[in-house]
Amino acid sequence: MKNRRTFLLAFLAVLIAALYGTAVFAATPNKCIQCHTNDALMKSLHKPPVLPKSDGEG
Amino acid sequence: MYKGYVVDKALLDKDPHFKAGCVLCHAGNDGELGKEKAHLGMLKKPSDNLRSCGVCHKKVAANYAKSLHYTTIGQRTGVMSRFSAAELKTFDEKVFEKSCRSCHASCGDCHVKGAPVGGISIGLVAKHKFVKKDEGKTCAFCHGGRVYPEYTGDYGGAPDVHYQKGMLCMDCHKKEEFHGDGTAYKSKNEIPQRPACKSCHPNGKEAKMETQVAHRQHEGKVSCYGCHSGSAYRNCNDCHGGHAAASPGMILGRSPRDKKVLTTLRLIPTVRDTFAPAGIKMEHFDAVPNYWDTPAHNIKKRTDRTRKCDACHVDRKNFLTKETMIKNGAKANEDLIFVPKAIKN
Repeated sequence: MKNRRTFLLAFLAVLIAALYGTAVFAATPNKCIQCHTNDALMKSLHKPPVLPKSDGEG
Repeated sequence: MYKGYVVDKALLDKDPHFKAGCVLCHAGNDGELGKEKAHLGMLKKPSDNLRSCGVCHKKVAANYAKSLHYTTIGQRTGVMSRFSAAELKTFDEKVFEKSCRSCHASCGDCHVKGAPVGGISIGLVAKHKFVKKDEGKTCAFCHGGRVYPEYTGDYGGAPDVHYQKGMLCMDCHKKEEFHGDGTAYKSKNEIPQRPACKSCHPNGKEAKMETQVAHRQHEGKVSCYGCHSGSAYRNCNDCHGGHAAASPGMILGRSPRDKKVLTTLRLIPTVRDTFAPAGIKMEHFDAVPNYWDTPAHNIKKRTDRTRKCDACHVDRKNFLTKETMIKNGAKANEDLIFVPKAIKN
């Protein structure tokens, strides 16, 4: 009986830690997407490439 | 094109590829807002290292490492018989690795962002969505010099009948052909999964008796393209100019790979001095023709050759002759001349 309770408590602890961990991970701000989902900002930062001389491709 | 860097926010929650954040594939520093620091150590094309995709798509990545789109070895196979052993070594070092190999496609070039051709890229195929296919943006961009516009009729010739019916590249060229099957084939002609007209159009299923007879009579002697290529197609040195003079056209002659078969030929861009800048004279240049059999992508059901026997057997229109051959070409070109027999009454 005691073993069963210990197992249940341990299982709940692991479950809570996993869920909390996921939430924390998901909440971590990803700054890449702040810029790369901003159309106007990307437009303002973009510099057109200088094109090299090249043959056509098949 | 700045759109090549704009990611669709709505994708981020939907697609499992984004679950672990940008840095899983692109590296860099996702905790920084400043451009320089954020991009430090960033990989522009993570799939250049196939192991990036191979983490999840293990078998596809392993097979793809040996596929022709990745190895580009077909370009070496096509030209190597012109070289001596020493020339081949120079070619591998100076040309193949530095030039031909730069054309290889990685996973992302077809599934995320089109490969740059001549410095120009179409950018993200669909705002960083991982697409299964989008031939008009991916295949068409690398193969836009001749094959794709030939298929759509954008050269001014007739569009391919399959295009008119709504078919695109991958309706015939299946994914196994691109991803590979784990065998390092040396040429597209060795690939068992390559398309064959007869897979959909087997002999004996023709609606008209006269068509059945025509197919039976020419079986093993004329390729499907030989009769069903609809119009003039682009020959390689129309673009790689300066080497020889040619205009878009249809060229009929013996297949260099099977001289019993009459087929459509395409002038290839390798001429006598192509590799001179790399110090390669091509000792065996004359042993290999300047024309290859070509699967012209401008198929029509009815052409002047399917309508009447005289088009080939009397008029001999579009057949390769000594007079129409490129000047200063390989001696092997003469082996491709085919003179159709007159029909006995």
